Amino acid sequence: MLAKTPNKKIIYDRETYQITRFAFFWLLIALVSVILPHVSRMPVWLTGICAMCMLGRFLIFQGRISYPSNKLKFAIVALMAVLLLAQYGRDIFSTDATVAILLVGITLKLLEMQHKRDVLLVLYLGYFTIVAEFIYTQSIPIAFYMSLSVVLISSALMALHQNPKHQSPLRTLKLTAVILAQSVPLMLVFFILFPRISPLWSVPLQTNTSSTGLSESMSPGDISNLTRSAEVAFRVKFNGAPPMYSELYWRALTLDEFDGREWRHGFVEEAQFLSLNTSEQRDWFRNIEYLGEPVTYNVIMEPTNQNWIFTLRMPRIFDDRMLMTRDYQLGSRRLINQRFSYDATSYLENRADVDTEGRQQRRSRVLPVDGNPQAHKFALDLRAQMPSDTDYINAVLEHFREEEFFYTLSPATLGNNSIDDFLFNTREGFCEHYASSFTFLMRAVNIPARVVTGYQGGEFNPFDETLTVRQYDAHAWAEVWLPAQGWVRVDPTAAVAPERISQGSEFTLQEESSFMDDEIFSLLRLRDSLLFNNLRFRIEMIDYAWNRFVLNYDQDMQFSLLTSLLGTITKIKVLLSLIVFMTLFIIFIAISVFRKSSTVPRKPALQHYLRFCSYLGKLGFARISGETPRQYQERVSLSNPQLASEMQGITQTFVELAFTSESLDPEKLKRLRMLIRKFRMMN
Amino acid sequence: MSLKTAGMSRLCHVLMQRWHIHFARWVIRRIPPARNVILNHQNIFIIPNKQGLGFLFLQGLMFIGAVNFEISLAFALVFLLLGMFFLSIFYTFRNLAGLHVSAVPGASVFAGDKAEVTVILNRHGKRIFENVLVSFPGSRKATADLIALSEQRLDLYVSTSKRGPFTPGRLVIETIFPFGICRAWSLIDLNFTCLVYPAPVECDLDWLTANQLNSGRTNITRGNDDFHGLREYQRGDSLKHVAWKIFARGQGMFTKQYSSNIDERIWLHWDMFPDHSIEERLSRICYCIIKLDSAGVDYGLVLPGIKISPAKGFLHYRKLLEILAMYEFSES
Repeated sequence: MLAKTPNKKIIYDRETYQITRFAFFWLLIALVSVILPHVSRMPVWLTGICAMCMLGRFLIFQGRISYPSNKLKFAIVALMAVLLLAQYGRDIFSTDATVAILLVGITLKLLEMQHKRDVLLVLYLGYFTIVAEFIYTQSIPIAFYMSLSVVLISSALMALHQNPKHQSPLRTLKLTAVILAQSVPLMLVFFILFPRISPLWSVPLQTNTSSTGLSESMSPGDISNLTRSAEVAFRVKFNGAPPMYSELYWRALTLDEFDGREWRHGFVEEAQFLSLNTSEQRDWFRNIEYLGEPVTYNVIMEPTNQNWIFTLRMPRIFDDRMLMTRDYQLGSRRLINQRFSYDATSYLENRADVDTEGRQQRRSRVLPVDGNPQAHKFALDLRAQMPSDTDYINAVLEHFREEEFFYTLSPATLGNNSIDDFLFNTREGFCEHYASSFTFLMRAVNIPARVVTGYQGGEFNPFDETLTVRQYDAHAWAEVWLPAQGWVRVDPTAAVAPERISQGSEFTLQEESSFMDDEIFSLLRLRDSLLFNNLRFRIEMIDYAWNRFVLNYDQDMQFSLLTSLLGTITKIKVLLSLIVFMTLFIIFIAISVFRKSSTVPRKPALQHYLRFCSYLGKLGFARISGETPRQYQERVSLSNPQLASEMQGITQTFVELAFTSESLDPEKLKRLRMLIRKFRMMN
Repeated sequence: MSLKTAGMSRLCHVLMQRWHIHFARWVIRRIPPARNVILNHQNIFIIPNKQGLGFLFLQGLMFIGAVNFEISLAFALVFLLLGMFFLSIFYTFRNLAGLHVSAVPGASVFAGDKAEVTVILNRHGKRIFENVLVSFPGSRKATADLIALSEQRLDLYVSTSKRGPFTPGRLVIETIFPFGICRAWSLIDLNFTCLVYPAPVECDLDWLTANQLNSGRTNITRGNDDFHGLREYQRGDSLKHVAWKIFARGQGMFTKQYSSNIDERIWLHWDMFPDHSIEERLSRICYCIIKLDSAGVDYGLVLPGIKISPAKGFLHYRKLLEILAMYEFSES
């Protein structure tokens, strides 16, 4: 039987941990610094809640209000849950929502922070908030800012373990900065050597920031709208010499469905994504003939929230992350919601889809039954005059070139029969007008044709030879299928405005009023100043290097870097270099950490004298403990008179050095050393 | 199942206990007692604490985040913080290394009271020491900051339980500065003992007359001439006080006693508390000593093998208490 235990009343130690004023302010500053960059992305109410929680905590700290009761806490949490659900709804598991929950959690915790454990939790979550920020931006300025935040949080962590009686913010900050600076070498080595693992599971990333860029459809005005933006679309670094500028057609999408006004990427139902490792490769994929010298390049593209990536035609895939669709367009397996780097190889000379007609060609002949009658008639008439399809294509281009067509960013608006309106009425248009009407004219005479959107050209940075392609380089052109050649690129814009292709859109369009309308304060506006242009190129170069070598440092880069450093990589070599590094690092740390001695160094005079004493000890006149130099001298002189005079000199010099203000007299120190040396030589 | 877990926990408990004993023995071998200890690599232990494990756990989470979102800078942050963790081992160690420690025991106390020990920390050289906690097992933790000062004295109070020579266990000097993620500590024996007197236990003082207790001092100064009685002559007795008349009658040699000469001095005797154990007797005698001292009378002590003649004053008082404290300790 169990003995009945007396009703033990657990008496809680009601002593609540009071965070010191000193640590509290550090904590608050650190938290503000990590939450601040998130504010621009947060819903407004969330910013308000964060601010209110901080204010509330401040008042609690001042003793004006008390800690929230359990009921109130529950009510606040419930309210937050409702607000978050209302804000994010079904996307509650998306990254945005997770970050919002993190921020709500951290600031609410601030309110009820009563134990040291709570304070630590808030600080640790502060570190985590920095990671959350990196999900969105990893630019150089943010990296700098965040390293300051790391210093602040770590300072708060240190302040928490300091005695408030001896507070000195500067000392705290300095020591933290020193410690973090000393851990930088370790960080670098681990960053370089630590094996990069591929993601464990995919995370939904919902960003409410809409990115500018190409979309899956094109109607008149879409691409000219993009020219308002100078945002970077992607950056390219060619291995070896880049192709001719006019060959830089970066394909993104083929649009093969036309409804009279809008071109759409209707390929979805026929999507054949093929990767290098797919076991059943289709014939068309195997039959691609890659000719001539390949062009290899690395592309770092900004997030598009799409799958497709930009390549020159004809891309060849080597990478398992890549897929190829039937229209020779490359896609990534994952949605590109972060900056994405890939290596690509293109064969500008190639043979593909020759002599075989299929569904693709049939689809590329379809036009809406009604609408644009004038254009239909024009096409049929012209074709009748031409001996071949090729001649017909040239005739159409000739038509664009010879007639009064204008290349402009702000064309007149088009009516219902947009092609007719453009071809025979307004005659002003941007690349999408030309590509669209050209493709229409092809289809009207049964030549398979499609619109291709992407970017053309770019800007070469003279300092690092990278090509920066911006949104205003967006372009649309056409591809026609000729039985003997396969799909052939035809750019009607080149017929109207050849400088667009050879010089780039910036050169062609800078006079237009809407060009770069969104970039009022950009350095790009100061192109005409050589100084600013060079400055901009320098900044872009650094930015590129940052993106390429830091942000996109991956397994491949790790491998190639290690190979260049170590030759062939073996486990032993890596291990050895790690051991060597760690040893050096520990020595470096030990020296720098223990640089300040904990003991007062002996004065040089005393050192010399003690050495002299130990020598005398060997001769049989050991100094008795507690004996002063004078007493010692007298005792030795008495028992051994022949040492007396030398002993007298040495003792006198030492006493003068040690006990008078002349202790820093280098001449005297030298004399002492000389006397001792002489003594040792003679005895 | 529950039996199994209970068994497991008991096993763990036993193992932990064993480990503690083993560790304590090892510490004794490693850090021998010394009056003055300089903390260095030989006597400082260092290990990540709970907060440090939490910190590492956080790094793990951040690392998973970095892997999953493929964030290069998050990798960098994780490695930077791991570097900080690694460095904090050195810095925490540095926050103790080079510290000079010594201790001065305070006045002796009665068993059950708290003994005072003053711990003295010294620094030489430029290096500063922050937030160093000093404690004896069972005492509060005192904080030392050697930043501007180069010496700090900390009074610690250690509870005692038994009489006799008392060593308060090894002094624990610990620190988790700078980041609280590592704990460096040292267990040092500063080689001193305090003396603990027996705990006084109240007892019946009726055998001492109220008169003697309350006005002992006046008792002695009063009436030199009041004849009190006779007692057998002892060598050394003044010949003036010999009762010559009785001697003349041939009845023997007696000394006349006057009230001032009566042996009114009190003897605290071992046999006064016959029904008690040694400790109980000592505690009661201790109580008597305190009372008698405050009354200001002379008192002596008789223990088996020890006899202290009556006297008074602080030195006497302390001497007797020391004898009580050390009774049967000195031989062993």
